[in-house]
Amino acid sequence: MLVAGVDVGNATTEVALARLIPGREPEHLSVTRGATTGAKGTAESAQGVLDLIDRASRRLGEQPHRILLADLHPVETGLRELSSDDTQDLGGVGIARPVSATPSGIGAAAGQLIDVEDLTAEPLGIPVIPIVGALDFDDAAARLNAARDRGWRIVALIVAGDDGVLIGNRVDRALPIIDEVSDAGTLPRGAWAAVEVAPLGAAVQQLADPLRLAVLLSLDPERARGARNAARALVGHRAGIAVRREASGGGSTREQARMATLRDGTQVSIDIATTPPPLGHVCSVDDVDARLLDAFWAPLPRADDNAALALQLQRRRAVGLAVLAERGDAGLERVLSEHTAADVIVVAAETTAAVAGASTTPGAGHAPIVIDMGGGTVDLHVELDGRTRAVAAAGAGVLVDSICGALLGIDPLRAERAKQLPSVHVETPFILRHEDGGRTFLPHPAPPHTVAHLCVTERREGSLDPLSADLAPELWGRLRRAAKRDVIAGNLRRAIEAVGGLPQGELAILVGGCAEDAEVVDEVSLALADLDLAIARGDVLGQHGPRAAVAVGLVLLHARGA
Amino acid sequence: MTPPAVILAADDPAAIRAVAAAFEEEGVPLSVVPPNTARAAALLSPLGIGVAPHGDEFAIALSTGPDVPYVVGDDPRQVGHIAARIAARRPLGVAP
Repeated sequence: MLVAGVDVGNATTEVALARLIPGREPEHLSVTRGATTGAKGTAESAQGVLDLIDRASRRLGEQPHRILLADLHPVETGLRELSSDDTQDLGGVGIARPVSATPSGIGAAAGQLIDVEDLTAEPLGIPVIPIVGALDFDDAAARLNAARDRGWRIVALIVAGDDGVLIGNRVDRALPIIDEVSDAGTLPRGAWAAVEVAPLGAAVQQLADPLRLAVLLSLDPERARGARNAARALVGHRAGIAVRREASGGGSTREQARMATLRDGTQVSIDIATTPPPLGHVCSVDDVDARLLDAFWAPLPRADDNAALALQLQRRRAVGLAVLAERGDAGLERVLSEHTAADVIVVAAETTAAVAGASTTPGAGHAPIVIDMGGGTVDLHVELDGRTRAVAAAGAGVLVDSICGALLGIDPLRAERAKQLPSVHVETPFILRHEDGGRTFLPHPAPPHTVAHLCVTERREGSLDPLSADLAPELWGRLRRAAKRDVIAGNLRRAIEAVGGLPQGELAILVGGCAEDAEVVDEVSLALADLDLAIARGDVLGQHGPRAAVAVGLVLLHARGA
Repeated sequence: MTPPAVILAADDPAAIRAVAAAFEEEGVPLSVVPPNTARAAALLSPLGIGVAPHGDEFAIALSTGPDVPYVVGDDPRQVGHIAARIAARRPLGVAP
């Protein structure tokens, strides 16, 4: 009889085909793998299973008679940036944070915004900040110099194009000039404004100080307090513009974090400063329509050695959340039954199947401790002295993807690659700097759009995927490892606490997609260092590495049962 | 002493002005020599980067690696901007 052990994970679906003959060991024929289609356990996830079974069966020329499933618990993972829903009253101060790479001059100044064309009139007798639109730099410089000669008090300049240094060199190299201000046309002429350009490598000081900002904008003490949000919004930027507007009366609102309800009825806020409760204590979460077995959350990692980045990340109030629901709607079994002639059988819990599969690792014998680190959960199965303890903790590889994606500002697919692959900084077309500070010289120049960018690199292919995040590879490498430590090693600790600890000196086998990641294995080994365990990566059937433990395990458990 | 400059091999005043403006804006030295290929200009450049007209367009070439233009574009200011940023090791400002 041909059977298909099917493991539908949050990220990957695996199918192990085997032939079962009573009285003999199963004949393992193939393992196929593909992306999970739809949420784990739902009707949508059946399509991926059917495709894999079809692919394997065509190769074999035979359809399976039985499809073996594990008892699935859906996991939902996401990341929410609470700050994106905040509204802040800037106290009647409009701000702009241009991305100008080459501003000119240094310092802060305040004056009335005017059009450069207005400089042909008689001087106003007050400090002014002309706005230069689509004007050639030589022409603009000539007008500004002529205006200065006629008595205009030009204290700073705002330029729409990338001409700041060119104009500064022709007018006054010390004059603060902010260029590449794409919305220069919308700045309110006649309004009082302040402009600051910080030295190279520094950030604005005066505009980021609420009192100094208030003085520059001539705000009264009452409004000065209201300007704190505007000042805060300019922290960390090399150049900034602040414009005085009508006093505003609206209040700031800070988006409330979601609440998790525990089994004892108490509530915990899912925020960056709160710690997830022990495994199994959460029974529901706001906006999640399911009874839960577990919930886990993690903020973006702390960039302790980079104060500016740490502040920036902290302000985002980004929290990654994973929830593990009780049994789903059996949609997967229903659709598989409808679309195949095979019997569909739920054989065992995922953790039980993982142990059976992990135990096929050469030299392992019966694995007493199996840690299955997949996309959705970290599962821990402990079988010692005739006692079995198994738990599943919400939050694993996909949650790490979400955090990596938020750090780099990329979609989940690219984030998954960025999580797994090393990064480099393309220093010149021929030189790559690696995460350990080492350098590689390329035989052929790197593509121009990768130069000076952090790139994810596939060593075998030599490909470079440029990222817009302004992070050094050394820093990104530390943040990536921290995300793995916080989520996977952190969750494993919760799982160990939930089973009452682990005995010292035993063998622990790591399986699941995350066990292919050497950094995760390192972090798990560190987390378990005090237990003096023999930690080994699984090699299912001696040929699949740490993958397919559940799919193969289902086949083995079914064969034993049969 | 030769300044560590990028070399522009061109004689069209408008093109020279546009490329030179990009270099001035980025604060990167540029030297102008008589017309030649971008590769030849790159071989003269202490930074190994050359710029020159390339048919109806402008090319940036590197002094090492394959003898083909590294970047080609039709706007001399933009091409100058890219060449200067490569020399200064700054991101090109193009969304990857």
